Amino acid sequence: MSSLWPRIEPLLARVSKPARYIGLERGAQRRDHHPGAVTWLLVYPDTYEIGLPNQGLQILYEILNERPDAVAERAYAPWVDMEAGMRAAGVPLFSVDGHRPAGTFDVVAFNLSAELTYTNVLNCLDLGGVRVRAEARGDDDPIVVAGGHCAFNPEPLAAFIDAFVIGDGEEPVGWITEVLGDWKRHGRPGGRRAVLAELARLPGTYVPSCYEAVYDGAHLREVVPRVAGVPERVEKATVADLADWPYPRRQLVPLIEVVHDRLNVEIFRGCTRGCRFCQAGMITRPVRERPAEQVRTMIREGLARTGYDEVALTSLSSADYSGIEGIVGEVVQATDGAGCVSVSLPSLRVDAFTVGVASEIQRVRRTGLTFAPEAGTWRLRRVINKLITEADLYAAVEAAYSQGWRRVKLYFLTGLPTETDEDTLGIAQLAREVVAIGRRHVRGASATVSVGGFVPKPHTPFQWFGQNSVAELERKLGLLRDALRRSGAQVRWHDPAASFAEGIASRGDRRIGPVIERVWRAGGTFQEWSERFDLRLWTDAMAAEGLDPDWYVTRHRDRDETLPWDHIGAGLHKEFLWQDWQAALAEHGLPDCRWTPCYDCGVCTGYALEHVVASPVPPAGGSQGTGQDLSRGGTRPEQPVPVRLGPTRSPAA
Amino acid sequence: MKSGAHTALRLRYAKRGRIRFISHRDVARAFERALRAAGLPLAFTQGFTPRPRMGFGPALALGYESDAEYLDVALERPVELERLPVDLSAVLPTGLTVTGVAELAARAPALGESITHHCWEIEVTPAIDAFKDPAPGPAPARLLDVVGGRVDALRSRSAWEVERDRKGITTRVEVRAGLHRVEVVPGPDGAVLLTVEVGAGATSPRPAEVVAAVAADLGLRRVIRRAQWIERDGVRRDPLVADAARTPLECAS
Repeated sequence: MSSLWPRIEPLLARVSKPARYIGLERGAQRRDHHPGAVTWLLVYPDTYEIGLPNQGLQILYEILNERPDAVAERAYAPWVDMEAGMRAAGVPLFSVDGHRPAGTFDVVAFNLSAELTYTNVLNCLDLGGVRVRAEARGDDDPIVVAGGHCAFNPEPLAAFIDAFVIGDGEEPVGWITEVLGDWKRHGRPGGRRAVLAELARLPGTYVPSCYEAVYDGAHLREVVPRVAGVPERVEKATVADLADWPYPRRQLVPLIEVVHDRLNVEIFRGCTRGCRFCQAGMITRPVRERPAEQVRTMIREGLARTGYDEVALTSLSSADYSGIEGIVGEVVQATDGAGCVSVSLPSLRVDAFTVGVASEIQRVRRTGLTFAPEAGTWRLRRVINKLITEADLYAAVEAAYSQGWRRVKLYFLTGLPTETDEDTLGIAQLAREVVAIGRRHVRGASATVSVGGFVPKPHTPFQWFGQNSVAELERKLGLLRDALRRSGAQVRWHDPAASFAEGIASRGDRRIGPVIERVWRAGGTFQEWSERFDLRLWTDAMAAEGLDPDWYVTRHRDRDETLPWDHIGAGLHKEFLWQDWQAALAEHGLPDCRWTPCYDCGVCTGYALEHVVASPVPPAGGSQGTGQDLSRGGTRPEQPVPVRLGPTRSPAA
Repeated sequence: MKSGAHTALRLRYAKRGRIRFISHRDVARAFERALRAAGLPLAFTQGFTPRPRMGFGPALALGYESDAEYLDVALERPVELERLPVDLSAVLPTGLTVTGVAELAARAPALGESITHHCWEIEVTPAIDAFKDPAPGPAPARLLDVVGGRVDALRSRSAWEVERDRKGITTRVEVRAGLHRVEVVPGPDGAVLLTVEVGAGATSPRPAEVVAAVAADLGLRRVIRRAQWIERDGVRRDPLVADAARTPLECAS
C-alpha cells in the first residue's frame, strides 16, 4: 500500500501542531514491508507529545525493527481537529513513519499507560478502519494487541483486544512475530481463531476470546478457559536481566516539544519499596538494576548521538540505584564547562541524601525540586508504607532551600484507606512548615502542593479498598484549600470526577467494555484531557448498561471475592496482598526486601528470579529502607539534620 | 557575532518537504542538537541557562519551504569546513540540509540586520477544499490569465495598503515600495507559479499578502523561499558570500 501522504498533506494546513503527523524524527525507521515480514503498528492512544517519549513503545519499536522477520512503525491518536479532517476526507489512521493506513498492518498494538485512554483505543481502531469488536474481525484484519501497566486488568477491554501482553514486552513481541510469521507463510491455516489460540499458549500472552467470564448474580464467579491448552492463569513475562536489553539504543529525537524531552536511560526496573498504593511497584518486581558500565555507555552514546543536553536516569525510585552518586558525578564531570549536560532523577526519594545528589547534578538550573510524601501524617504514611518521617521531609526541604532551590513541589494522595480529616489537614501542616523552612533561606520561597484522588489499582494491597466518592474527595480538597489559605503554598488538584471514571475502568470487569464503547460513541475521546473529560458520559453509559458505578468504584471488596484480574498473574500471592492489606489497616510498615530477608511476596520464588542489585546495603541517608525505627517520626528535630556537602556548595544566587 | 568567541560560521540550509510543518523555534532546537551531535566546539552564552550562541536570519513561517535559510554559529576555535555540510546534514532531521558554509569575517553584522531582500516562489492551483480528497484536475485554462491580470493590476498600483494584526491590534501598513518584482508563469499540474521579490523589512509585503491580493479565491499549494540577499552599494550578494572571511564552501542540497 502506498503512502497516504498526498492526502494527508492538504489537511495539515488547517490543524494545530501539524508536525505531530509528519514523522522524520532522528531515530525513525523507514523499512520495506516485504512479504516475509510481520508488520506491527505501535500505537500510543494519546497525543504525539504524550506518546512519543514513551520508553516502552520506543524499546519495542527498536527490537522489532532489528528483526529481519518484522517491521514496526508508530502512530499516535490524532487530535480532534485532525480527526475531523481525516474523517471528512476519508483518510484512515496512519503511521507517522511511512504514512501507511493502520488497516494494512498485520498487528495493531496499543500501549495502555492510563485507563482514561481506553476510549481512544476504540477510536483509533475505528479511524483505522479496523472493526472495534474483536469478534467481528476476519482473517484479513489486523491482530489487535495491547500491553503496558493497564493490561494487568485486561477485562474492561476484553471485547476489543485480540491478545494482551502481560509484563515486560521485550520477549513476547518476538514470540508473537514468530507465530504470526509462520501462520502467514502457511496460508493462515485454521484462520484467525486458530492463530489466536496459538498466541494464547505463549507465555505472558492473554487472549480474552479463549476465556469465559462466569457470573453469580452481580458477582463474578470466575474467568475460565473455554478452549483446550491455554493456561488457567496467565503469568506475566519478566526480563530476568536488563543487561540483555540495552534499549533504546537510538532514542527518537522529536521535532516539536514533547513531555520528557531529553535522553532517558532506564537504570533499573521494578521497585520493592512496597508503597501499597503503587501498582507500578507491585507489578514490575523484582528489582533489576542495569549494570553501571552499560548505564555509562548508554548515556555517553545517547548524548553524542542525539545532541540532547539533559539526561534522565529513569526508574521508580532513582536514588535507590547502587552507586547513583558515582554515575551522576561522572556525567557531570565528563560534560563540565559551558554547555554542560544536566542530569535529572525522576521519582526522588524524600531525604537529605537525595537532595545532596540532586545538588550535585543541578548546578545551573535550580528552579524546582519535587518530593512525594503522599500522605499528611506519619500514621497514614505507615498505612501506605511510604515510610518517610517528618524529620526526613524537613531535612530534605532544609537541604533543598539552603542549597539554592527556590521552589519545592510536594505530591500527595487523598482518599487513602483509613484517612481521617486529621490526615488530610496534616498535608496543610506539612506544607506550612515547608514554606516556613524555605523562608528562612530564600526570600519568596514557595511550595506547590499537588493533590490527587486515590484510585485503587489491581494487584496491590489496596485492591480491596472502596474508593472515596466524588463528593468525599471534593470535601477533603475543600478542607485542604481552606487550611492553606494565605499559607504561601499553592494547591493544585486532580479533578475528583476524573478519578471516579478512572476507578470504573481500573477495577472493572468485562461488563465495563460496553460502557467504554458507549462513552466513545458519544464522542468521549481524550478523557485524559480536562477540557475533554465529561463524567456525565460515563455515568450515562453505566446507567444505559444497567450498572451501578458505586458497586465498581466505592464498594469495599471481601477477602473471598473473585477479582476480575485473578486469572492474570503478576507473581504476587493473593494471600500476600491480603496480609499486606491487613498490615496496612494495622498501621504496620514493611521493609524493603532488597536489603532485608525475603518475606515471599511470591514473585522471586514463583518465577525463579532474583533481585539484580549491585549493592548489598541500602543507600545512605533517609529512614527508608531497612533498619528504620518505624515508631519514630512526628516531630521536627531541633537541629537541622547535617547534610553531606558536595564540592560545589555555593548556593546559586 | 559578539566578541568572546574565537570564530564564527555562517551556514546556508534548505528546509524542504514534510519538515516544512515545524516552526522556526523547532528548527532552532533541531540545529542546537545537531551542532552538539556533530561535536562542534560551540561557544555558549553566559548565565543560568547557557545556550549555544546562534543567530538566525528572518524566520520562515510554518508551512513554507526554503532553499536559502541562514544561521550564524559562534565557535570556540576554528574547524575544518570541508566535511561540515555533509556531517551536519547527517545529524539533522530529514529535510533540513546544509548547502553551504563560510567562515565569517570579524565584526560581520548580524543576519537579521543585514538581509535586505527575499525571493519567493508561490505555487497557486485552482481552488481545492483541503478537507476533501484533493483531486485537482486540469486547471481552468483561464487560471494563468486570471492571475496574470491581477498581477498586472498589482504592479500598476502606486500604493498598496495591507492590514496586519499584532496581539489583537490592527494596523495598516503601506507596502507597495517593498514589492520589487512579481512574475507569473505556468507551473506543474495546471498550477501557476508566482515569483515575488520583496524587501526584508516590515514595510514589505509578505507572501500571504501577495496571495491574498492575487489568488485569495484559489488554492495555495506551496510557498518556497528561493533566495535571500544582502544588498550593499547597489550589489546583491548571497549572505553566505557577503560577509565571508574567505571563499565559502558550497554544495548542492
